[in-house]
Amino acid sequence: MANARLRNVTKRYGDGVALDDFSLDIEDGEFVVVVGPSGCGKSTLLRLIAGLDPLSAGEVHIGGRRVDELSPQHRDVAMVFQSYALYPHMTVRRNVEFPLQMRGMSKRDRRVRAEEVAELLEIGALLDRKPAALSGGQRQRVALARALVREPALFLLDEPLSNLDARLRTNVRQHIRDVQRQLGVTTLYVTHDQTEAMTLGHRVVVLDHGCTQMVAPPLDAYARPANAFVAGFLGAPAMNLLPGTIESDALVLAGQRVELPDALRASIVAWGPAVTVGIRPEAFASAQGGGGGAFVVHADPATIEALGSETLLASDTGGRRVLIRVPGGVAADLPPFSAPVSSFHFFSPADGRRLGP
Amino acid sequence: MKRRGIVLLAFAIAGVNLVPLWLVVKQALTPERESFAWPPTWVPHELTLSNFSGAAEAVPLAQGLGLSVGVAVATVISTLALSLPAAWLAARREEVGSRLDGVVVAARLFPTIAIAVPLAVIFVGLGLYNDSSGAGLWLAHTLLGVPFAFLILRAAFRGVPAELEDAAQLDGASPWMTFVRVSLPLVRPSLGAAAMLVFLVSWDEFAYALLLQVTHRTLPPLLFYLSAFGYPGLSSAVAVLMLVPAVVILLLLEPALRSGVLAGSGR
Repeated sequence: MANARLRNVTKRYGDGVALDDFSLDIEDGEFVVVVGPSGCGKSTLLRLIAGLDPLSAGEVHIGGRRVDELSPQHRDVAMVFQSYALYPHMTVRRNVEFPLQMRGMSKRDRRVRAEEVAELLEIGALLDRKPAALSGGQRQRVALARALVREPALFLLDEPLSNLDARLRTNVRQHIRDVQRQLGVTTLYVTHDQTEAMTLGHRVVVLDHGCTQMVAPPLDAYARPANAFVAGFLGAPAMNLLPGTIESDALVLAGQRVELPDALRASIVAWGPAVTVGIRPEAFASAQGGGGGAFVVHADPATIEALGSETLLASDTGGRRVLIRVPGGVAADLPPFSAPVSSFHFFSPADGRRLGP
Repeated sequence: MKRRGIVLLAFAIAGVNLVPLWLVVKQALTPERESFAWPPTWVPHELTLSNFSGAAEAVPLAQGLGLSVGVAVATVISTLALSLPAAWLAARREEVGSRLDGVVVAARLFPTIAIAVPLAVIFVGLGLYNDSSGAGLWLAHTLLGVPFAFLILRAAFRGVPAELEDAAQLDGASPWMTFVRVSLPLVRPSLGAAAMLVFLVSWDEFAYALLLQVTHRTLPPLLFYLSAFGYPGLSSAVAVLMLVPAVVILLLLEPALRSGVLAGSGR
């Protein structure tokens, strides 16, 4: 158990930069999720921390010890690979005992420890099987067991759920969270799945093109995304991002004039004239009567996706597709939907930066 | 109908291969006059081991057998020791692999008998020519064996995901332990196949054996002399001795050949 400090970690490949000047402090026992689209540099980050690839620049400290010059075996880092990377010629027991064996633990202690971890991950009945005889979910748990058995200083997971079917994924996700909280092991978890990003970690790091976009607790990142990329990436369906123009006392959005409430007018006008407006699909509700200070859209009945607990709709407004998400069902004669200005997020069209608080 | 055709074809191919084999065994176990009998006989009339004792009197058979086994076993060891690291490196680093490919293919293009003459001259200078323990021949056979072993083992290492080696290192294994505990066990079937093929390469090798050794000969040149001087019974006896490991290895390799361990290994 230890903290981890990453200082200006950079990885260059030929002309390209896979990871650019990445810095992050992970507290002892903290669970940090790194999320981003494929190719954003998140797997590279794990390989650099693990020592599987050399850094181009920067430093990695684990538990107060600088490790970026050490070989992987001396970093006290455990990793769960996307492919699980179980040793196919060894039984589950020998897979789990392998890290202990490499550290010279006696056969007897190894056995006891492996059985403890097997109990924790509910694979006790599988110990004498080979990986080929296991299901995907079982292999996944064996991979976790092998990584956790020696109580690493830092625990790395590279998209560990991406090979599981949807139902299993929910179970294993909760299991991973429980085990991490129970053991208090410092964890860095990489994923492209934003449900995992929202639910697993204490903090989430949003990465794009090798650059950190935001570091925050997941709900904060959802509520106040630092820029348009984070806004569009976290949340499903994605936030609507629309170009808007600010006139003296109103916002023109997709051809519609939206009155600005007195309380917000002064600050919003100062950001103008051009802004990018972000509206979460769930910010919309059935419009009750008229009233200014809201963006009103008419959904296309053909786009209704009724999921029972909620309904997804879309609207083509002023040449833009706007996604809407409302709880429960919708009436047969679709009402207009409106989102109040107070729910809007504003971003600079030039660099995507968040405007205002 | 189609199936019966395939079965017939299989029998025909097996027959073409097995008839000479049967004749050699028959000639080795029957008196010489039966070998020359006309019309030829297919079933031995009189069984005898005199051809083996005769061959042992005519040529240094026991010494030849010992030398053949010794050189072949040593060749297997040295060839695998050289090929394993090379094949692993070639499988993990494509740029190294393509270069080694060129060297290995080029090495196989030269006729061995043409290289044997300059090699003999070099070995005279080094004191390896006609070495009583076959050290010179062993070196030459290692040169022959490496390309086979390299191609088989490289294909095998390519089948081992690099992530398994990454995982082992993170689990605390040194690079050497990673190789011994993870990579090597996963290529074991191919390693066995390579060892047996290299054994046969050395066991069967004639040109170097003829030109690099004079008085300390392995079995192939001994067989050649007996045959060239007109002793079909004696040479058949030596041939049968030479067939034994080949048949054993064929039986051992059969599952590997069937499972495609040697697929993509060249030749």
